[in-house]
Amino acid sequence: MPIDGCARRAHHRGTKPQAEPLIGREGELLSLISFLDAPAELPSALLIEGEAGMGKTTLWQSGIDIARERSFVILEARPVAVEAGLSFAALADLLEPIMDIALPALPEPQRRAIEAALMLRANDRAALDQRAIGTALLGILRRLAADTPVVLAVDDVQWLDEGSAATLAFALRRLTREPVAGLFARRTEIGARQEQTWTTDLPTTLITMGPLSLGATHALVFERQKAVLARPLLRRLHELSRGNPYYALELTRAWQAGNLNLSESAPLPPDLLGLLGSRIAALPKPTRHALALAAAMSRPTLSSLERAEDEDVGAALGRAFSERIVELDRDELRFTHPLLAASAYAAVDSADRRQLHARLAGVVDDVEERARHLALAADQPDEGIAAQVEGAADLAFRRGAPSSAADLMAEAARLTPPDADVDGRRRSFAEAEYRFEAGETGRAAALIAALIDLTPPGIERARLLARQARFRHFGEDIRGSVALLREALAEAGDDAELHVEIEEGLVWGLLMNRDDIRGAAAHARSAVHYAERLGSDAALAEALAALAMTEALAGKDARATIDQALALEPATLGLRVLRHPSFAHGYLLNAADDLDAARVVFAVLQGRAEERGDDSSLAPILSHLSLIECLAGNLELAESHADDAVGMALQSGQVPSQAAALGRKALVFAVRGDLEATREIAGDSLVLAHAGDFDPSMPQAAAARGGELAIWALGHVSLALGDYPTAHRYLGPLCAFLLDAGIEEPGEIRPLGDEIEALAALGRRGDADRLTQHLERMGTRTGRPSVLGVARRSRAIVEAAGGEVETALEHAKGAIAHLRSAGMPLELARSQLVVGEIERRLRLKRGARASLGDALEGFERLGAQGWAARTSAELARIGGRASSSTELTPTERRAAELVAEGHSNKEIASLMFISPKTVEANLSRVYTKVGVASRTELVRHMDRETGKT
Amino acid sequence: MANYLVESYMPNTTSLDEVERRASRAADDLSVAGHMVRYVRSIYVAEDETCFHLFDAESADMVRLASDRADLRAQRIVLAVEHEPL
Repeated sequence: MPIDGCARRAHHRGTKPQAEPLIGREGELLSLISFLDAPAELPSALLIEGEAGMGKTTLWQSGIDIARERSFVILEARPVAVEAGLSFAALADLLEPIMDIALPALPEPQRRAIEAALMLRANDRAALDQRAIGTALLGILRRLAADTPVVLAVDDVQWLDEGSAATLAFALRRLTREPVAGLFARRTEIGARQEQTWTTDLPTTLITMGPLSLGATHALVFERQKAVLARPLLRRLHELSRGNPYYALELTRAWQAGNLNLSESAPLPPDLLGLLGSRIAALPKPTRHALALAAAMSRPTLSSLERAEDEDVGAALGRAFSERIVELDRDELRFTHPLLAASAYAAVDSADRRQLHARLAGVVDDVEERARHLALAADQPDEGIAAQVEGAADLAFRRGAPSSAADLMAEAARLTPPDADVDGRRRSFAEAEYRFEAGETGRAAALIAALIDLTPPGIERARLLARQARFRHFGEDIRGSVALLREALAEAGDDAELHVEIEEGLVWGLLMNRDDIRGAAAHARSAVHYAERLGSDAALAEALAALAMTEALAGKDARATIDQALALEPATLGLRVLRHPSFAHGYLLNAADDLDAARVVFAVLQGRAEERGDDSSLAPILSHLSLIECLAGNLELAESHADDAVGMALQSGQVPSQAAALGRKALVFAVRGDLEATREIAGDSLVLAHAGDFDPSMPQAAAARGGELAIWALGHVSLALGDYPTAHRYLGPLCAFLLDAGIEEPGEIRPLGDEIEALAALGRRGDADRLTQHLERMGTRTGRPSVLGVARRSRAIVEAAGGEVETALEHAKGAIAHLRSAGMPLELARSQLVVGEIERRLRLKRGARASLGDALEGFERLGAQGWAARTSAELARIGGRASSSTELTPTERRAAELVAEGHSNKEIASLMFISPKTVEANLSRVYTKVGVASRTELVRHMDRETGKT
Repeated sequence: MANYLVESYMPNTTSLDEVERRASRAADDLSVAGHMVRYVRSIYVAEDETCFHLFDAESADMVRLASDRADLRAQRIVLAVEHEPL
């Protein structure tokens, strides 16, 4: 493996300084042991929390020793305050001992990503993919844990660098049954950067380090300092230290040196930091200087200090070693307590500190760390330094540390000379981008807004406007985003790249809002034009995919365009999976009711997204799979995909995705005819999509933010249960909105068939007829059996409502012929129901019974209870032989017989190829019909009937 | 013979039976060997996680010896005066 000159040095800590015996922490130790002795509870975590000096690290280190005795694999890191900004410092430590065996076993993209993060490979910035790094860590943990339980130990998690923190959180969140134990220590209060405090989603046991008892304090100072204290002094020590062991030891040390009076009447001693400060101040100047230098470095080593200093650092540090302020582990220097490092750094004045950072900038290898030192060394603008810091900021960003990158970029902007205003603006712009990526959207927007005011109209301002539009888009203000993009477009001049960005933004904005499909198509064409000029295959692929979408929605044949986009797909594989042309392809296949092909495409995309940990793409992919299965009649699978989609959307924090996923789930329950569940789930979806009370007469905003399917679900369930006014209340405005938008793709206006049925039932034949004509036109144009079938069924319903029963029957039978080949069982059964209803009206009893029987069987197989009940009622109205309300249908009879044979509902479900819910529903009808109240009574009844007594 | 108070850190202590047994035995063993030391009693202060043991002995060193044999982990041994109630 090539290791370039600026590779981050591997930090093997070798034999660790042994943990000191724990005094006064017996209870905590027991918790630690029982945590490590319960591998069945893993994955889980133990978090040791407490203020500085409470002994967290000592307990944490004991945990590692205990785990080692129990043969756990130990991955450990001890971040320090200085490196909180250095990308992947902690990850490098964690992986260091296993790197050689773990890396070669990883899939190529993950291995490259890890190598890039840890800078094991030069000039491979393209490989840096935060999700791939997380997935790689997950893979490593899983592989290790397959053989031996693993302890992932991180001290001072509040100082975890951003990249490592995100990677750890990503991997730990995905652990399911692996024996991985997190062992974490976190400082509370005093100096902790609480806003960056890292947490894990693993089930966590918390150990809070409380104060030591008086006796424990005495035992501690006796053990460590050989101090024997009389009761009054001991009491005073305990009182002053408030049971904080480190403070107690420092107080004792000062008392032993004659620098502190512990008697009641003496003035209050300084606090812990003050005490440490005086201890540092008492050291000779060269020692103080060397300590400050060490404290300013992320990984101080004797050799690097020697390079920074001309003097003999080893000699200068003599006192610091003998007083155990620092200790040496091979070449590496470590402060015995983080507070000592802070005190050593605080002990030099600002001029000295600048000088010290200037020296360090000359000796550290890491680009980011060097930039930090350069920035801290400079007190006035300097273009040379600003440029270096800017470079480091870009690198930090690519290494997945946007917040550190933004901080560095802010430094670069600060150091930019006032006359270099273009450079300054570029740096502030980059800072805004990084802040946005780091989730600091408010600061990002403020920076951009300030820049827009400073920038004269033109390409640069257009770029800023486009960026502000993107922020708005992500902030879910689609309309605001579109308006800004239009403004940007006017100033974009001849910049092809900028044009592509703006035009594509406009396409998606307009498509999502569904208010100008034709306009979206024009922008898509323009995006294609500029992408071609730009000569970027990836940009062209995306633009073509967007164009294909607009074509399909406008009712045009998009196949040629999507094929062109797919041919360029390899160029997009480095982008988020949602941006691969296959996603648009799957979407179009689904809309075109080619469910089998769509399922395959989305399954491939699901694999890609999982491999990269691309959660935000997974949610929409799973939502599509849910709809596909729902249409294909596999409701249980549809529900499980929808649940997974909801989970993924929650994880990636995307509200519209979550609303859309819940909408899919609501639709599954609507098809089942479960009114209560549909209302609840659709309600949740609409709350997310709409924020506030949803008014069915104004579906626009909610539909644009993921609520469309929830509205359809509410309409559909009402229709299935025969509540036509409610069905129309939801479906009417929704269909009107979609049609007004100019959508000509029938797969994007699926609720149309439902709305027609509701309208006809409400006696609004004219309106129903108008919508049916629209469906018929779309059916003829596309030639799709599914659309033709639903159109003919709708026609049958309209004709029947007008009394043209015989023509209606012909249409309804035609619908069945179309739908038999469409692979959409609900639509088929609904058409059979319509045929049966018409036949009944025509008094074709035998035919009606057969048609309704087919419909009932279809609904029951699906688990569509609402529709099934409606069909049963219809059957009951036929009268005569087969329709008595106490006679069992074939399905009910079979279920009852299987109960009598002693099968459970689950077994019956699998024997009859129906869902357990359908079994329950059938049995509850059986109970009513035969007049029994329990399963036992039913068995007795069936036995009697079959003569078994 | 004088009274000596031994102070030792004893976390999570619920019963002193075992401690008393060890202390008496250590003192008895030393007495058999001809030394003057006798274990009197112990008092446990739970809040401080501290136990005080009272010995009669010829010297503090003898008490240290007895404490070590009894594994009392003494942090401090001081001369004391035991006052019998009137």
